[in-house]
Amino acid sequence: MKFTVVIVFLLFPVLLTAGVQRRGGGGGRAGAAGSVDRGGAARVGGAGSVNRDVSRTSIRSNQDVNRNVTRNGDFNTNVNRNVDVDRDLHVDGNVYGGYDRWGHPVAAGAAAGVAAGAAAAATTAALGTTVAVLPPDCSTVVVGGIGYSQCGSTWYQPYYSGTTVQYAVVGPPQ
Amino acid sequence: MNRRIILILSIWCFSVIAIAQTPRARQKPADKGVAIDPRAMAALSKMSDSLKTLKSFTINSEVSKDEIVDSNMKIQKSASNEIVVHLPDRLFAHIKSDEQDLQFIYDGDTLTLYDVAGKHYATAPAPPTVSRTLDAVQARYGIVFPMADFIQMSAQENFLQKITDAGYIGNSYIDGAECDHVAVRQPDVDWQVWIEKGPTPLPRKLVITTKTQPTQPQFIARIKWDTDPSIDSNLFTFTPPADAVRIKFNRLSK
Repeated sequence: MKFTVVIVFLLFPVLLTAGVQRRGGGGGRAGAAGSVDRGGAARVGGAGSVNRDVSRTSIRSNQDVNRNVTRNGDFNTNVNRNVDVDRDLHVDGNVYGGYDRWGHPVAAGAAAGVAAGAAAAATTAALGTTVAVLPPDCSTVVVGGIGYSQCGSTWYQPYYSGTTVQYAVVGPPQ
Repeated sequence: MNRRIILILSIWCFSVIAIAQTPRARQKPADKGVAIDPRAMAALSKMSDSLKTLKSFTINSEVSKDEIVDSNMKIQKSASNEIVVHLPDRLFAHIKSDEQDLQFIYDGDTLTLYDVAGKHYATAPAPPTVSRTLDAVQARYGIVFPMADFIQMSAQENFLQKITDAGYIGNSYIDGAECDHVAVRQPDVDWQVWIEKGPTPLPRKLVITTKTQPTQPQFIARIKWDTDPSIDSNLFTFTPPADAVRIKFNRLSK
């Protein structure tokens, strides 16, 4: 009988404390299951969005910014003006040069695990694929004011994905 | 003998209960979702007002940013940024990070992004103000400009209406300047700002914790301001070096 009393007394505060911790700890996790907003918007939509999560650098959400831009009609401001038109090439995110486990960009052949080396990868590169690093021995050719890289028989068009230069495999520029 | 044990145990019990009750009582307001400390809001308002008085200014920031590699390892990347703003329509920024050496040049009409190390540049037509240009650059190209929040606040944008939780943490010193330390919660990020005390209540440090990722990476910036700089107006005009190659921006689809 006396032991029962002692046990109840011992258990009571433990239960109570556990309850408090559950309540206190639970709050912060709300929303974690939702869509993962990749903080580094500089990588959104580009080839670089693979395997690298980075912290956000702004307190404002993309939705807030997009709302402003839509309201002001600034998404397509003067795109037809003859300064420069953004590239209309569609990159489908088919990346064969990615990042290594330490986050360094890797050249095309290496990332694909192609033992034969970059030259083999370059000759088989499919249109629309994108790499973060060019294979070796490329030359820059300017066509229509825009730079291209010729690597063997494969042509790459460099472009900004966010602030990062990526190279899309394209047909020979006209 | 047994009675004495029971007495001791019950005293112990009640003291544990008392201790357990105290933090629960403190946490209650936070659980309800609305907790705004007026001291925090007062400091934030002062900062906001101070930012809105700026016309020409430079911001030098030392930035650390967590990047998650190898599935769950945090690597802290660094950058030194210099930004020169002349409101409403001129901006120059030089960003030297671990991987890149970049310049943004905006003259009220055209925006250029120049990769100094790689000698690539791209230009695009831009809206007529710094504020709208920073937003457009984020929406079109996914580029979040360094210190964009404070530049936007200087251009009249008011973010403070959106705050649901704000706490005043206390006194702090950043680079020798006495500051008010304020912490703010939003659904997707928590952020902290250190606001200089005295006649120029400008932000001296910013920490953003991204809560939407399980690893909760952080962005940390220490900030120095010059609110009366002498600016060379040539800074806002980009002349491509002879060996620089023009490329294009990849526009995000909308």
